[in-house]
Amino acid sequence: MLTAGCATLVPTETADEEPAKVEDRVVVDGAVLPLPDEPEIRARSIPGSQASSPVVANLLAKADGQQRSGQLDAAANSLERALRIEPRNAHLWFRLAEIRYQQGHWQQAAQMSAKSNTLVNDDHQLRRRNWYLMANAYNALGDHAKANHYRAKLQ
Amino acid sequence: MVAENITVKPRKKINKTGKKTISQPAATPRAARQIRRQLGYWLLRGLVIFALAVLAYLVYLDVEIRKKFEGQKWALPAHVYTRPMELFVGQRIPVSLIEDELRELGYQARADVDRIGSYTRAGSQIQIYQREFQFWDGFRGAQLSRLTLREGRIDRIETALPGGDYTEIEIIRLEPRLFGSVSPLSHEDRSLLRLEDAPAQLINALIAIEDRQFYSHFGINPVGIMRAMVRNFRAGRVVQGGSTLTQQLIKNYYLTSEQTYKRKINEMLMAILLEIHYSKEAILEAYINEVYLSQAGNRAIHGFALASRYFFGRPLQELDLHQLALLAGINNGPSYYNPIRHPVRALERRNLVLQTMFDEGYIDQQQFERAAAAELDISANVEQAAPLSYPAFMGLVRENLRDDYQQDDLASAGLQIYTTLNPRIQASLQQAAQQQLADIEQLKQLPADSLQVAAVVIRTDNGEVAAMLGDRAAGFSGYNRAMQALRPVGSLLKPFVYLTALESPSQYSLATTISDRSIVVSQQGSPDWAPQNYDGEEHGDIMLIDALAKSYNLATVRLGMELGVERVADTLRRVGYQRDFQVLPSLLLGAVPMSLLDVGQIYLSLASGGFKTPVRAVRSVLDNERQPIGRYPLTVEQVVQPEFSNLINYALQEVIRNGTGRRVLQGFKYDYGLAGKTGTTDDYRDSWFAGFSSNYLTVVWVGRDDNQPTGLTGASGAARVWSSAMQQIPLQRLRLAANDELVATRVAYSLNPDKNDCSLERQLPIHRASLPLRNLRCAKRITYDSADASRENQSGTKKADNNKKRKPWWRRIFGRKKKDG
Repeated sequence: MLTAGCATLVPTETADEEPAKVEDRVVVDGAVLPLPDEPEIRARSIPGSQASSPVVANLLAKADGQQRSGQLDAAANSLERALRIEPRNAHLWFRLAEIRYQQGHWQQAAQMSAKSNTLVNDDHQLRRRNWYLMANAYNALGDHAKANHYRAKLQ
Repeated sequence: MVAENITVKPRKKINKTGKKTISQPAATPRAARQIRRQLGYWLLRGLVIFALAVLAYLVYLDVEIRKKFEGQKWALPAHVYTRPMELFVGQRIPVSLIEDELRELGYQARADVDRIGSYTRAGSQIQIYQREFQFWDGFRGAQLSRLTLREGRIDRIETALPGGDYTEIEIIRLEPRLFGSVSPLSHEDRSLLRLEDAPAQLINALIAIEDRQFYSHFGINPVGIMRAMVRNFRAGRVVQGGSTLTQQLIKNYYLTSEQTYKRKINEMLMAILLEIHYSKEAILEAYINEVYLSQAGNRAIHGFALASRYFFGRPLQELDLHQLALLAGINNGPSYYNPIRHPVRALERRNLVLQTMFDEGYIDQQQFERAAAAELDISANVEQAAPLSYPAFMGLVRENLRDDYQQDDLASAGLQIYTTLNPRIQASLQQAAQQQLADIEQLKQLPADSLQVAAVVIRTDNGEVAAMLGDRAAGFSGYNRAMQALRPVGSLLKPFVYLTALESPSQYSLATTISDRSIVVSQQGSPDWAPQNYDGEEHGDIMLIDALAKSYNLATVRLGMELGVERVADTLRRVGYQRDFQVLPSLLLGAVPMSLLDVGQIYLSLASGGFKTPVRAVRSVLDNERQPIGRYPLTVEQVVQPEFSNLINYALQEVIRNGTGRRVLQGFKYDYGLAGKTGTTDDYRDSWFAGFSSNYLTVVWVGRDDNQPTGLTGASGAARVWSSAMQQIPLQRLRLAANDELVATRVAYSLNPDKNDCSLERQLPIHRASLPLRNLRCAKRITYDSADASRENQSGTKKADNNKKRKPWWRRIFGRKKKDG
């Protein structure tokens, strides 16, 4: 996890999130409209690790502490706060899924993991962690077909 | 019970002795004695009855006033707060936005941050002396915060405890702003102020000007009344009431303008009774919370805590002496001394209070002179207190809470409700709506103020409502068009027809050619239905994506009938439409009544990438003691698989890039990848636009209350408001997440169907299950310019479009490309 001190603040285009190369740019008066600057700065991503901005790292650390001391609602609250800042951060959705799982909200746990997986891009490790959590959540719900479906993906 | 002992027992004694006196024989002739006895007997009976009546009346008054006192003491309306503004390292935010928020919160721009509730701005640095606040997740004490901005972003945040050293931190919050209260019956608003929290100078001012003997009298002050009578007589008018604070409190409980002796006597009796039951402190505390001090719209401002927020935009504890004196002064005649309407009168009154405080020795000469020389200092916000109360949004807050809280609790339990409202976005929305409606009316030569509007801005990732408008006049709290008005949605429904198709990838892709030719639909029990395109023409075989982008009715009805109306209805229910509706073919063109929020809910399922999230206005609730009692957590439910939500969102982006929604791009400096859809209903009665960036979904309706045609399409009405509002909101670009199921595919087409030379190509995202694409050779693609021109003629706009004379844009960008390039 990055801390505020060592993070280099560079706005980065996350190329891996771009859809298939298609005609998807807006043209006004014959000119392609420029892309906006990103509203938030992300720390430059370090390959293989979940990149988070300093503010999200701060809120994640807060949520971790709250989770450890059993304040699960407060931890969820901190994660929701972080998600308002970085709504497309797959790791935050996964952490929220974990909290919901710990609280016994199986349905929400599985849904949050599903959401996380739509944003996960090429972080295969995170994708597998979501599948694992979904398999367990559906198992707890008694939906063994779905549980097996996600368990099979883990093989 | 004390009262009964004192008032009741002595009277009983008198009665008993009376009886004895009368029953004693006297030395008089028998007849006379008989008469006198009879008389005495009746007299006695009369006396007893009178005494009992007085007694009963006193008991009645006693019960009445105690009930009032105890009841009102706890009748605290629920208080409703905006979202807290989050400020964090790396955030792109204009300094002006932070300053706007600070000003609305009542922070004062000063040369130095020397007191709580002040801030300084020097160049790219803002320093704030923040107030304490009880957030849902913990108490934050007063602190100093220093923000340094660089190139439009927050570069560094440091905080310090008062007197301490600064340390670096990643994120701070400003406290949320109290903007409303739930007290539906009486429209009275108060916030509880404990006596020990009230500034001493306020109490001194009240006692000096209203009731100098407060601590020594027994509820009424006979000397005071006499003195008042003399002064009034000398002045020739009423300059002094002679009422004690206790009497005034009672008067406030029964606010009427009625001035009768009966009332006055009742008031006195009740004042005495109250003083018997309660301490001076309790009475004073009730007084400072209860007195009526002003009227803000239909909301009565009671108590000094709220009046301070209303007039000065700041907590009572932060007020200066002259401001406290003003509040104490207007207390005597809230409307006569209203400092907004009668500033001169109010200033005189304030200085009279200050003079009296000086005479009584509460303040010294220097304090007096400085305070008396001060301006009135009324907050700039007070004029717009009504617009800042967000009635439409409050309606949604009430509805959200209705399931979890009793109406009584909402109106009296003093709940603290933390909502999702973003006042910056709300201000943008209000401004956009007012400006654009006026412009449209002028442009289209419609009667002024004939158009109405409803609009909502929702966060796409969590369903939080950032802003909501239910009327053109933002502060108007009557009919809430955003929630109460059900209107047909027209073409806003089309994306759900196309989504239903795209969810069968082996049959349909964005490139599938569908037919836009006339169709007659036979419906059981009703006449045949022959829908028309808006431009009255048929467009032949066109790609599915273009049929949606151009909003062709014939192609949509044909597609919908092919799919089956029931399947489309199922899609609608799946993405969050909850009302009962008739499943008829006309559903395909939006003949289904929806509120603006209903539209918001179903579009949210698209904007969020296929996840249904309840649209909500409340984040959390705290009780009267500021203890957290409820949180409204984020919940999601996947209702559309990500690959299909990508496809439909790509098509909705095409609506704006090259379709009926192109108009909204006017004024945008950047490409936010916006996706959206226009909606127009029969005879131009309803003008709709729903669309989103990555982070915000906005839905706008424009029309008339009498449901008469406006001549506006979705593009020429609602889209203008939408565009203007969205340009003021900090948007994030909508990027469709990569998906393994989708492949970028080149599709050839011709502009001229007769030539059919397949000289152009475009790339479209196509589902693997749709491959290989068949029967696609050179589907006709309608040009933006010609389609737009016919639409313009239809809606009566004569304004020439610069684009028309130029080559089509794709010629300029992609024109040289060859099919096999």
